[in-house]
Amino acid sequence: MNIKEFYQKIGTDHNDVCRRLISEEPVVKYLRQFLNDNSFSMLDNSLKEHDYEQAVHASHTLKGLCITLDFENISQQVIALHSNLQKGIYAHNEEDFSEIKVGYSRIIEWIKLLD
Amino acid sequence: MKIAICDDNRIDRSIISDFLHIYMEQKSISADLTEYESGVNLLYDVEDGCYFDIIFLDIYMSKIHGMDIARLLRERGYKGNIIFLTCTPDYAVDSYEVEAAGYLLKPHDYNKIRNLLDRLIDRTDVRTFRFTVRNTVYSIPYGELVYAESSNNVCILHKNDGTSYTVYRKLSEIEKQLNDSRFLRCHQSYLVNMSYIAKADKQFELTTGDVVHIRQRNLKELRRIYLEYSAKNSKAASDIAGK
Repeated sequence: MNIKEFYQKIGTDHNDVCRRLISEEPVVKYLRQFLNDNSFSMLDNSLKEHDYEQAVHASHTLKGLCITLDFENISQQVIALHSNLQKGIYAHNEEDFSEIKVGYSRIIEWIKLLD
Repeated sequence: MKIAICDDNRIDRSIISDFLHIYMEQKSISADLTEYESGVNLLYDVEDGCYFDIIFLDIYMSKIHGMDIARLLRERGYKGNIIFLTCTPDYAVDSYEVEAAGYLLKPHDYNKIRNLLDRLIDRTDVRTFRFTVRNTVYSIPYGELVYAESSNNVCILHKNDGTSYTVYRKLSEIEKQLNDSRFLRCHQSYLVNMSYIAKADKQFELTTGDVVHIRQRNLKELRRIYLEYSAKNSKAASDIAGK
């Protein structure tokens, strides 16, 4: 799968992210680095353990990465989850997170298919 | 030019580092980049005497907040440029308190960083004076060279931290190589960086406590050059402060 096809699956155009991050090559590099990023697993664990301070931090990091790497399929949900956690709203977070989890798993699967 | 990137996320550090390498290469500026995963380590290094012309600082880091790091850096006398990296505008006002040079909102965008750096580089001293002493190459930023004096067949270069270097070259050669309006050949044996002049009388008293002779027959002219330089730089400083 090439970068254009990857972002088509995500639901956005690859041109904007490639312009912002200079070209296709570095974008692929950052996407591969995302495979080893632990902000998602940290968020998952902290929500399970009700460690909301850690969850705020992890969701903030994940939010930044989603915005920068144009993960349109989960960006809005991550932004909303982070906002709720920051305000101390903890109800429904696990349900919201399960939606993010589905989108995140797809992103990981598609990154692994990149040329 | 020395630059620090402080962000607890590896991908963010990688993006900023790549941006900076490309920018510096395009502008032919030599730069040393140091990455920090933790603001505390950055703070320790600055306390230990590391200087950075620019620090890129993430705001939302684990353990200690980037804004707190910035405040501590300023309290410890750090005078360089701080550029915040964040995905929230919430701290934009706080960034004024620590005299941030920039506040970059995510998503990361090379054009945003390039525009900011273009503005900063213009007012950051990136020129360095290179010379060799016993096969070792030294590079002193112009802003750190206080004065040069000739003594017999050698010249002694004095830095603002009190260190000095003896080079086997003529003062006129050094003056020619520096080729910068801040350096004034005020005497046959002295070349002074006017930024360090604290008092201009029959001789120049420097902020370091050193005294530099002035060629007496040109005293009036040399003092006029210094006063013009001083006035120009005061205006530039107030213009920057007013921006």
